[in-house]
Amino acid sequence: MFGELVKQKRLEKKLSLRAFCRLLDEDASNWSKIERGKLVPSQDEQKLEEIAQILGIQKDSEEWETLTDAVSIDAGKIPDYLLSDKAIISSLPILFRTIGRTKLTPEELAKLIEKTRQESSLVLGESEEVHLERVKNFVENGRISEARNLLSMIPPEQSSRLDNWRKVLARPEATLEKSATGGTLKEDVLWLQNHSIKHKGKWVALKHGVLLGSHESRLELHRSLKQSGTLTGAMFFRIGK
Amino acid sequence: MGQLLKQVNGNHILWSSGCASFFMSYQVGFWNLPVAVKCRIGSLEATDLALLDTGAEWSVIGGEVAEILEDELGFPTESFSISTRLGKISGSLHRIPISLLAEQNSGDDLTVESSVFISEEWDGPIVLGYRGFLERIRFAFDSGVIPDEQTFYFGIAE
Repeated sequence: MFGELVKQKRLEKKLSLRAFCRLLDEDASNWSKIERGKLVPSQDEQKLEEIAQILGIQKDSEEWETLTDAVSIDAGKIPDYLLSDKAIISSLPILFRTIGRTKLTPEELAKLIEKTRQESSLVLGESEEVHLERVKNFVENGRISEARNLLSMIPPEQSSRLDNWRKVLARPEATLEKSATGGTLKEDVLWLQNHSIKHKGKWVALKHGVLLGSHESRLELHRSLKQSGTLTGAMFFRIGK
Repeated sequence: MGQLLKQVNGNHILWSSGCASFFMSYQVGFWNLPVAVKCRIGSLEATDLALLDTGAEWSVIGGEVAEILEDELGFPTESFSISTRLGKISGSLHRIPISLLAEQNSGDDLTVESSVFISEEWDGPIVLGYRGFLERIRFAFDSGVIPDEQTFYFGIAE
């Protein structure tokens, strides 16, 4: 890929292999192998800059990006700027599996790249309000993976409201605590069996089968237990009418 | 209470990491909770019963519990509607930890940094639904042969 690209540009510049290698201070026989894909090119950025200069490629131009991508791909590496994007990194295994399974032809792959480019530029060109509306509609209709996909295409820290959606739609984290704080339900169940009738329609707070308080309002009961210092470890039940 | 094991290539590995009793057909006002489990919402010092509902898209907290949690809910997402068995309710999503509580000598509590739909319009029980909560854990219910011996097993999904 890198070799073909350099060869094409070199021929456009009407530079022979030997003339090009003289300018680059490289061995022509080795460089021929690089152009034929038999040798892996150097990853050295200074060397790449020299090549670009000889070939008339501006640094930071699209051709420069293609050249640096090509050198990474030939070395079996993912380009560094992609590795710094967490959203892209997490999507790469799915992308590789999908492309591998569907066995796209070069033409189909080119179309896919073009479509992705167009969609990305559309996404990046839309306003915050449009994105928010689309995410909300996706979520409201249960299309969570589409909402996540859309959010992954928008760079983080550009909108706190979109970042908030990103946070709530992220896959939840689960952790095991090093403690068991549940206690048994048996004593509370026994209390409920014997006393529920006196507290119909109310909230009751129990601890180890002992009534801590009772009230129509959960909020009031919470406040009163907090004030009395008995809230910790209480279990709230709402008794049916 | 013991834990559940899974057999893999002739070896037994732990399937659940904690367990606790649960309520079956618990009546709360107009509500019947077919399966109610003990949990702790956010940093509340007290515990609550929640309806565990695999058919609910989101976990839902409403009414006075939402009011108590107000200080730790943070910035809401844009408001939207969800369908419930009592019709549509509107609210917003928030990230809040919810812990399933293991009984003593029955493993460890499990906390999920959950996404929860908070709605002032919801007067029903706390619901633990699929998205943002159940999708991250594994669980099993043993209805038991003796009354009050029902066991709820839980662990982190692989």
